[in-house]
Amino acid sequence: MSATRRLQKELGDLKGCGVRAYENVECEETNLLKWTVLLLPDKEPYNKGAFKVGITFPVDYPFKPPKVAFETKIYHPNVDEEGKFCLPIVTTENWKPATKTEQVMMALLSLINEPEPNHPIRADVAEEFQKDHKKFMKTAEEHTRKNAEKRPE
Amino acid sequence: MADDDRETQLFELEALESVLRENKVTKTSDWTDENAEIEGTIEVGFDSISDPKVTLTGTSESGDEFSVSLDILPPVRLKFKLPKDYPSDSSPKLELESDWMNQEQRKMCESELSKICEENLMMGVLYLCYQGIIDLIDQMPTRTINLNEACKIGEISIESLKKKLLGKGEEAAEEHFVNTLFDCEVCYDSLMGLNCIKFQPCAHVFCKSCIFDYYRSVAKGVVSKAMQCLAEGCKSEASQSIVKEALGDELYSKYEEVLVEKAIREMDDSVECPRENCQKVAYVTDRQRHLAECSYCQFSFCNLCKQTFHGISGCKWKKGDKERLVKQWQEGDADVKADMCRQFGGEKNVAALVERFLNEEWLDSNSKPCPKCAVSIEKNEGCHKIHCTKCDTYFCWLCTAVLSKEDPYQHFQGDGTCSGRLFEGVHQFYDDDDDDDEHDDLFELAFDDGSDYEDDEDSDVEFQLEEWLEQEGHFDDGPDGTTFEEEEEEKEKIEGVE
Repeated sequence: MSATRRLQKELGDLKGCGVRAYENVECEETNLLKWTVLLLPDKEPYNKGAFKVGITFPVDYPFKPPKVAFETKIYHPNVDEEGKFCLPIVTTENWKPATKTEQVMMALLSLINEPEPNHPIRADVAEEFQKDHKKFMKTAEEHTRKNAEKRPE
Repeated sequence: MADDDRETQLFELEALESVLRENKVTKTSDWTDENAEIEGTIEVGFDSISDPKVTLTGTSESGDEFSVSLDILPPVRLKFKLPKDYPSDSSPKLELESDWMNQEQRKMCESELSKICEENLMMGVLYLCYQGIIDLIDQMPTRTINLNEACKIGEISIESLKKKLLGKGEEAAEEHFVNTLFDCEVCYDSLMGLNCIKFQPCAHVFCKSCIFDYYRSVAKGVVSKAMQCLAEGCKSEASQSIVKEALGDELYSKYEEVLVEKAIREMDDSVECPRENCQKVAYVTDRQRHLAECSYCQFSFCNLCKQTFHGISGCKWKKGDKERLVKQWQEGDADVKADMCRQFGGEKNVAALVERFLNEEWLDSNSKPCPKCAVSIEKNEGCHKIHCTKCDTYFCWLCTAVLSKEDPYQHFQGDGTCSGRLFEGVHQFYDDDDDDDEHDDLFELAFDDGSDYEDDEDSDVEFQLEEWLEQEGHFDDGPDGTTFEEEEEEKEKIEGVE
C-alpha cells in the first residue's frame, strides 16, 4: 500500500514540525490510518485548553482526503456540536493528493484562531460572536474550561 | 607511433562516449578507415549549469523588439578532427559551431580551447575541451543573449534563428527533465523525469504512477471538472494526452463525455432529450412556445411536459390530474383500477405513470434544480448558500440567484432581498413538512421577481423524471443518469436574476 510510506513520513514530519499548536500527534498503535492531534490554539478564548482532533485516512489515501473532526467539544461559530466543520482544503472537491496533513492542521488552526462568522456552521454562535462579542468570549472561555483537555506543559 | 596514436584516439573517443550521454558524439568520418583522419562532433549542452535560464532578446527585421526566455541554453557543437599524430605530437583541430554566440563569446571560447590544448600536450584533450566550454559559459556574467549580434546573422534571418533556438532550447529542457531525479510529493519516491510529468504552467512535477492512480480514482467517482495538477490549490490542467494515457480508452471517453456535456449544458439553451434511448443534447428553439428539438434524434418536444410538441394547446398533465390519478390508483377498487388500465394502456403503464408522478411530487417538494445546469438538488442541511458540484455554480436556495464564486456569502449581506437570511427558516421549513403555508411562502419568495411565473398554474412545474431518483435508491432500479430538466419559465427567470 502506497499510503503506508507516505503516512509514516507525514507522521514523522508532523511530530517534528516544531509548531507547538499541532505537533502533538499520536497514531493508533495498530492502525496507521487513525491519528489524534492535540490542537493548541494560541488565541483567546481557546488558548487555555487543548482540543483533540481525530483524523481518519481513507485506505486510498492520498487520492482521497482524510476525514477530520474535533473529538473535544468546542464552542466556535465554525464547528458544530458533533465536532464537524467545513474546511475547504479537505473537501472531496478541493482535495489534492499532494496536500499534507500539516497543511490541513495549519488551515484548521487558523480557522479556530480566526473564526469566520460569515461562513458559520452554528448560526447562533456566529450571531453571538458578531452582536455580543463579550458574551461570546465569556461563554467560549467557560466552555473551554469545562470541556477542553489540559494543555501539555 | 602513428598506430599507437590511433589506438589512443579510439580509446579516448570510447571513454568520451561512455562519459557523455547517448548520441552526444557523432562521427563525421569513417573511424575504421585507418588512412583517414578521425572526424566528429561533440554536442555540448548546458543543463548542468546551476541556473541555466537565459533570455533571448533582439529586434526583428520588421523592427519589433522581442524578449523570450528559455529554460536551458541551446547546446553548441564542438567539431573535432584528429591528426594522425595526435596526441603524441600535435593537437586536435577544433571548431566551434553555435547558433547564438556572438563574435566575442566565440573568440573567448576559441582561445580557451587553444589554451587547454597547449597546457595538455601529449594528452587526450577532448573531454577537457568539452568541460572548458561549459565552465566558460557558466561564468558568463549575464545570460541575456542579443540575437542581433549572433555570428549566424547574415546566414539566417533573425526570426528563423529565434524560432530555431526556441525549439533547441525546448529540446534541451526536455532532455534535462527526463534525466533529472525528482521527489514525488505524493508517494515520496525519487524517480527520474522519464517516469514523471511536469504540469504547465505551474511546473509542479509528480510521478506518473501517482498521477495516473489519482486520475483513475477521480474518474471512477463524480467528475466535475478537468483533471488538474496534484499540488495543493494548483489549478493547472493536465493535457488531454496525459489524461487519456492515465484513464485508458474506455474511462477516458466517459470522462470526455462528461466534460463535453458539462460544457454544452453551461450553454443557456440546451436541455436533455427526454427520449429514454437518446438523452442527448437538445436545444430550445422557440422560447415562447417551449419548443425544444433534439439535435441527434430530431425529436421535437414541449420543454415543459417533455411530451411530443403540442403547439399552443396546454400540457397534457396538470398537477390536479396527477394527484387524482395517483389517489385513484392507490385507493380505488378493482373496477376503478380496471378502468384506468383500459384508459392508459395496461397495468404496467399505469403503474409506471403513478410512480412517475410520485417521484415528481417528491422532487417538487424536496429538491430544486440548479439554476445553471438544472440538475436536481436536495438540500438536507446547512445554510442557503448552495454549491452545485455538477457545474460548479453557487446559488441562493431562497431566490435561486446565481452567486459569485469568489464570495457567495455576499448575497446574504448588504441590503438585497436575501440579506441576513443565510439560515432563515432552516428549521421551520425542513423540520415541519406539514406546514404547507410556509412551503408556499418559500416558493413565492423564490419566484417573486415579477416574471409571469406566478400566473402559471402550479401544474406547469413539471419535472422530467430521470433515473436520478432510482439511482439514489428512492424507487426502482433504473439505468444510469443524474439529471432531469426543469421547465423553461424558471430558466428565463433565473437569467433575469443573473
